[in-house]
Amino acid sequence: MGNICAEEILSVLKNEIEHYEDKSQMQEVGTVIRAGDGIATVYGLSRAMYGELVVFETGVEGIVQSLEEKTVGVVLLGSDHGIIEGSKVNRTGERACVGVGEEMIGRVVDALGNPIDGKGKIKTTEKRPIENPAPGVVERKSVSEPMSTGILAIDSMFPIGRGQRELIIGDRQTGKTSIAVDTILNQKGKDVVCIYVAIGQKSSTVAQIVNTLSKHGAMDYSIIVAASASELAPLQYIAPYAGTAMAEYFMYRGKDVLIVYDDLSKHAVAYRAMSLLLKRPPGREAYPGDVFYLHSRLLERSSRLDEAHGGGSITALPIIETLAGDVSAYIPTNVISITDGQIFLESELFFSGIRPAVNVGLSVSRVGGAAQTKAMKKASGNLRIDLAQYREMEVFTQFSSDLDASTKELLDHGSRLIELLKQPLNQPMSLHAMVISLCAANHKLMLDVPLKEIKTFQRNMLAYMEKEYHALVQKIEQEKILTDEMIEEIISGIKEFKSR
Amino acid sequence: MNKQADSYGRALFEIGIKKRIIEESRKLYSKNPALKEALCNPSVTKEEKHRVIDAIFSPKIRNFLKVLCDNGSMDQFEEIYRSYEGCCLESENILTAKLIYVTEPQTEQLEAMKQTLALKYDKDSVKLDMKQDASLIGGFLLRVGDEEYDYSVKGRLAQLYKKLAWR
Repeated sequence: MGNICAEEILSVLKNEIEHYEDKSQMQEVGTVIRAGDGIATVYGLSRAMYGELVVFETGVEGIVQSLEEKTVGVVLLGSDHGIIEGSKVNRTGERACVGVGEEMIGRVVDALGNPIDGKGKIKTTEKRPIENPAPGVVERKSVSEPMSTGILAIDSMFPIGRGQRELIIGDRQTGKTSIAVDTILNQKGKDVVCIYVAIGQKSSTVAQIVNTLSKHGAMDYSIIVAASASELAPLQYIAPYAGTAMAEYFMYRGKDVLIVYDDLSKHAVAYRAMSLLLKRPPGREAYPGDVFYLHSRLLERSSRLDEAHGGGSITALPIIETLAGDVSAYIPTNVISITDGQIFLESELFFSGIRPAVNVGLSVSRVGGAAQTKAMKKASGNLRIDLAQYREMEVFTQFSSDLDASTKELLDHGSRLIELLKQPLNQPMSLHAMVISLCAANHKLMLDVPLKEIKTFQRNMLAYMEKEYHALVQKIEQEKILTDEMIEEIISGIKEFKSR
Repeated sequence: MNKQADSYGRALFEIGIKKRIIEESRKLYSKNPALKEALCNPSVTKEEKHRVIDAIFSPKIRNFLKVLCDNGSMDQFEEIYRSYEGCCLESENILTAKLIYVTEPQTEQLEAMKQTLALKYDKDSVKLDMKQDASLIGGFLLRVGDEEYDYSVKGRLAQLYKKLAWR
């Protein structure tokens, strides 16, 4: 067997060599005059374009990032080993591209689209430049379809629509990545392609996410683009653009895509390192002047196309890490102003056991009700107002003795709502579960349930409803509506369950 | 290569000193390490450097060298000369090209090569910089400015490798 294979290979090779036409083409070359810290200054290459891919003698690629009178500045996309003064650099005439296509799904790749999961080469037939202009005004449609996260607190109060950009912001260890991963898990069977871009993350964290996703069968519709902390700053810089290029392939074919950038503060830091080495003038906090444009051009590429252009969408969930809850720092304010809303996570809430630790007051979705199903809109009703009233009155819980009946009820209701919004990791809720839970809370059917038993009550109640009111559950899931009669039915069902 | 040396070289060309004088000064400078050391050393005072220049160099170029010393750019003299040479060749409409070969080409071959180059780049004549490099295995490599014409066996092998190893 092995013998035949070797012979076959030999004959193929011989054939190739015999029919090899040597074309000696003119090539444009330059010489390295300075190299260091992942940046090379190359003399010559006078016709190189900004953003063009060049190849060094050692086979390492680079991107032209600054054009000067006689020299160009090139950022290396690989090891600088073997690049010395006088090394030759060749132009390719192409802008930096990544392979895109269905073949990428289920794979873990680096910022250049090369596989890093050990599952062999990816045979993509199409390539796409990593930098692409965002869809124009004419091609776009307003956000109107929900992209459910499966997290009750988010879907009920800060709904995310397809084509929206919702920032997830918070300190370290507040569950930012968990929200993103939960959202990916919730897209199972919904014909959404998910792309997770890890920028400057620990490789162990990325491995853990890959594990979680494969365990829940989410890798079947996901791509992971990883530029971990050990990789060069230029790779970390291009990773989100490469991920977006992969997403655009699906969007222009009419598919819905969810893309998570984890996280953009590290992306800004990588870009700062690169810019300083390229001798671009530093601005505030030593970030270069175009750090705002860096993120705005990235996030503008997330959009919802109208039917004439395929009707696809890219929903972006950028993540930003703050220091000590400071949302008014430079990068956080920039990204907040670009995105269509933010989910603010607080460590104080996280450690007091409220997980997901969403701060209801500071979080917002600027698309709002347009991106909610009718059923959810009706069920969530005045949840935010109830919670706001509860927070205002919360201090009085300490003097519980001298409270009038209405205040006491308000406090009890509020504390039960907060309990209801808690949700364990990797357990996204379906639409009917959310709607029924919210109905139960809104109609004060849980006031007599002890606070500690709320979660058990909710679980058992949902199981009962799914069993006994199957038609109703199906109707909510399929038609996504909630009529007054349906509410009556739910209430009577819950009462039935309680009286058992 | 750097901008400063380039400006000096252009200035040197534009003040119109005879080429012979500049070439002689450069030879003098590059062949005497002690002179180089004295003129480049920042601890030697300007007055002393000026005295040395007055004593050694031809009167026409003295002022230029003094300016270089005063600005602490004397160590770039070689590069300035190269840039000056470039200006001269440009003004005479001469093209410089680099030829890297394994076996030295015959005179007729060289002439033919020069003619094609002169025609292609619209220049009066061509000055070839010859260099031997056995690592090319065979053939030659012609470099004009940023452009490179690869007719070497090494280059062809590299191309073949690329074709065969392509996924």
